[in-house]
Amino acid sequence: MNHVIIGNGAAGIAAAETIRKLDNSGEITIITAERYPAYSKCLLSDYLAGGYSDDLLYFRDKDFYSRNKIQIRFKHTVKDIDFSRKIVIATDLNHPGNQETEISYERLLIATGSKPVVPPIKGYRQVNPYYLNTLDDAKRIMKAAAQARDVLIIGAGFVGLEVAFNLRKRGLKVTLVDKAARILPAQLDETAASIITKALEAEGIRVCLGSGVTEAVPNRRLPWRSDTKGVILENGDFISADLLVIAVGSVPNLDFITPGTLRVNCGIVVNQQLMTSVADVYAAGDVIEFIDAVTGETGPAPIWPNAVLEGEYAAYNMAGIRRELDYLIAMQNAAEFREIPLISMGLVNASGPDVETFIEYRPAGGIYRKIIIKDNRIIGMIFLGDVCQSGVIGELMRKRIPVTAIKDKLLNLNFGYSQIANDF
Amino acid sequence: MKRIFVIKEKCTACLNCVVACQKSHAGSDFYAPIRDIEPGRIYIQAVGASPVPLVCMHCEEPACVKACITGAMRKDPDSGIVSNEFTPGKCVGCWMCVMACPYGVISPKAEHGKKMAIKCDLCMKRNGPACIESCPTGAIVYMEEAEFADYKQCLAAVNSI
Repeated sequence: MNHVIIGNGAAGIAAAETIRKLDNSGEITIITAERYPAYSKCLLSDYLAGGYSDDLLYFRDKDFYSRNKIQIRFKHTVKDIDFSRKIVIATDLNHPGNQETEISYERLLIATGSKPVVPPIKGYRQVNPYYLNTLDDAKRIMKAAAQARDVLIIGAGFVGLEVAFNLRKRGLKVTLVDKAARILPAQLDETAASIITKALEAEGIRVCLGSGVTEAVPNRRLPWRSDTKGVILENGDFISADLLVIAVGSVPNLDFITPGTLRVNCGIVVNQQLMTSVADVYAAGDVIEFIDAVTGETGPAPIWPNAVLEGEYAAYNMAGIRRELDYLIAMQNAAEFREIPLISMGLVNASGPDVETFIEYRPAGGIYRKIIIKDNRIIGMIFLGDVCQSGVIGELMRKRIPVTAIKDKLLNLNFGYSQIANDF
Repeated sequence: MKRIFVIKEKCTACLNCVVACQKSHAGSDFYAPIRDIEPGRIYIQAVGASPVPLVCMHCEEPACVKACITGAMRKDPDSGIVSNEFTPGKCVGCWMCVMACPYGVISPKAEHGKKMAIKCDLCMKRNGPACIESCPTGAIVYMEEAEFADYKQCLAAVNSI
């Protein structure tokens, strides 16, 4: 069998590894626009702080491709896929003149990940903003950061926050702007957000919330700083910066798919075997949409552990072993800001008459833990300051286990797997 | 593979295993300076009024390995041990594995600003797990799966006399 995988990230690598485990003789080809071995995008914001070697970003050993007999085609951008002829049409940037090349497949996996959202705001293009999506993006930001003094980050999501902390570590003056009234509105509630906002401010980062950007202003041509550019906020404030980073979210990266050839909604539509609407074509990772364990609805679930699982399940099915993935938790994040560990899963702001909320808040200990229960199931959690046992709560969520009988114990300090186990 | 099995009825929550684990991994015989730095990798949890030891099972398909964003957490194909210590310097303490582990047996550790996820490594740098040696009642044992099944049968037989 000839397997072709487009994408060299979490899903693509997990799939390639799994196919090799199941099929020792089949051909595996990975096509990637990148020029680096598989690297972890989650680490790119840490990389910005400096002192991080490229090697640390690589999440597989140097001999990964050769050991697994994977043919890797770097610097190939996919232009189109001819599903009827089973051919991937790519531009090979390794050759001068950017030669077009055709790669045929018997089974294809699309794992092209996501790309940053470019907000439709006046003047953005003229101010030359940066986005953080690839290692080359990170290197470009590093280069610009070496010349910069004032950094403006638009978007107070996980990427924006991590970029802010890491550029601050380089001694830059950092301002974080978001139109939402608080940071991480989907992943934190008010209490948790205020704890992390205080940490941002304690680090010396200026946080401007509740006012979106109306216009980006290129060089202001101030006599003393001709390079100053910046943005005008909805409240009229002008914030200047010589380095602008935009982090307002991501969308599936599927530009190369000719409309009408493959069923696409928010992301590529797949069934529980990770099959797309076209025969022998599978998709996994940030590029797809999948069923959320919490809401039961379908949508993007762009997070590393989900991408790996999807890649593995796709690989089993590609190798002819039927495996069905039931559901995933789309919203789940782990992070640490200024020595405050944080894990957030599911719907952390759910409210209503049928919703029960359990909270443990110990300001002196820097601990805030919250669990939200609806219809006998956990639908959301925030563990801040103390993240131990979050995996157990997470498993109750993932498996949709009824928790009414144990709901009062979940936030006890001695709660653990032993209390829910029946296999001892 | 040989791993740690639990016979919870024998546990008296003496915590000798936890202390032995911490000492062994901190490489020190002096407990006071290490107890707040080195988290124990075996946990004694209370179920009702009874203690139950809990430790990593070194899963066949480990959720922590799948969740690891750096490639630090691995299941060694030869020994079956799941650990992030085969790859020194790789773990950055992102806590993805803590979030993913359904058993809650991975803990965050921070020492001199260096973050790292901490879990049972079956004392691979040592000759056999320290916790097993320190258990005075035989509530934890280090055996092959089949060996443990036989052992449990023997215990049941003895108890029924």
